[in-house]
Amino acid sequence: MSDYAVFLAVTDRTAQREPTFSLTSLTIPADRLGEAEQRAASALAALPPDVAWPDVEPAVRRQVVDRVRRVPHVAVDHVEHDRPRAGAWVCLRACLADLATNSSLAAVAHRPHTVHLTGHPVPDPTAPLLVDAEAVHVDAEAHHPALARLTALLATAAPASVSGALPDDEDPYEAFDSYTLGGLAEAGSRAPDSPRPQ
Amino acid sequence: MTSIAAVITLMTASATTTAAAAAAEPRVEQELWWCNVSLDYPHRSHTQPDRVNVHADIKQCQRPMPAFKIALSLYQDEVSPVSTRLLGNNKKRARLVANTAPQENVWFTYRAVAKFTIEDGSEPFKATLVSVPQQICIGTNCPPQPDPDSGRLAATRW
Repeated sequence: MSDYAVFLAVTDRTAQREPTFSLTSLTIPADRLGEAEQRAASALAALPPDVAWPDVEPAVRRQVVDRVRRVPHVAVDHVEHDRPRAGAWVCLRACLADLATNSSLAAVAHRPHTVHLTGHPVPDPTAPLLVDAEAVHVDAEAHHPALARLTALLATAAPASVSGALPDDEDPYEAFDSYTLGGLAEAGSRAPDSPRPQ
Repeated sequence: MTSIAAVITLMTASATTTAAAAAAEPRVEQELWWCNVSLDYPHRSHTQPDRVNVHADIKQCQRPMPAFKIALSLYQDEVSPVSTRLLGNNKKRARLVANTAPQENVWFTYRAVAKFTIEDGSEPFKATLVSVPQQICIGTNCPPQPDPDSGRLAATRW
């Protein structure tokens, strides 16, 4: 019996310049999965199918954010592949490895968990985060449509959330108790034109 | 470069208290490195009504943090803190929660302490934020809220 259900939205941007892939995860306590699905369905009821967060009216965003707060959860995490472009599978694997070791999910990845995938397929079940899962379901929409949709919606909100373009009450990440958002770029020294931290 | 101790002193002096627009929870916040760090006041959880929550945030980073750590402690009547921590690399935002499920129908005073560290290859940048103590009672049969200065708080417990 899994302790956690990890919903994973894989966004393929290989047709664009960069980043090539992004991964967004929504982690739910397994014993509250049914309640989470119901509350997510209620939270997203006002949205048109397949809408992206930037296309949602601000008043509706605020309503959705307020309702998403009531979805039982552990954390959300989002990682963008921002290293120099490599093969698609290499990019995807790097994002999975980052989620498993360098996010809120790091505390969950070694515990019994089930992964529910949505978006771009992950071709290798031996990838980080998937290899230790008790089960990997590739049809998250079929069994938990609202949670799969919420995870995909969070993926579309990530760029604006990371850039600070969203007010707090229109930012769906603000609805969660724990989160990380970022990229993979190697740690480097501060740029020489960096007066602020002096 | 200014010493780390001086940076911490400066940051502490400039810490402000605001009402957060989204979460509707008041918080203390300040700038650290290229980011803003904040700590909200302990409050009843929105998703688990039997729990008391507190959140520590790193937001509004103008560049990714090469490395960061958040250590968060939630104190109930100054004892037995619940402690959590989160660390990572190359993130631009991060939030951590600490929570506890207290005895029902009893008033307790909660206080939180968050320690933030951001490293960019030079000396680490550090800040500590402390929340304003909050009296919270979880339950449907809470006695009247006691005056924290009257000594009645302890008298509401058994």
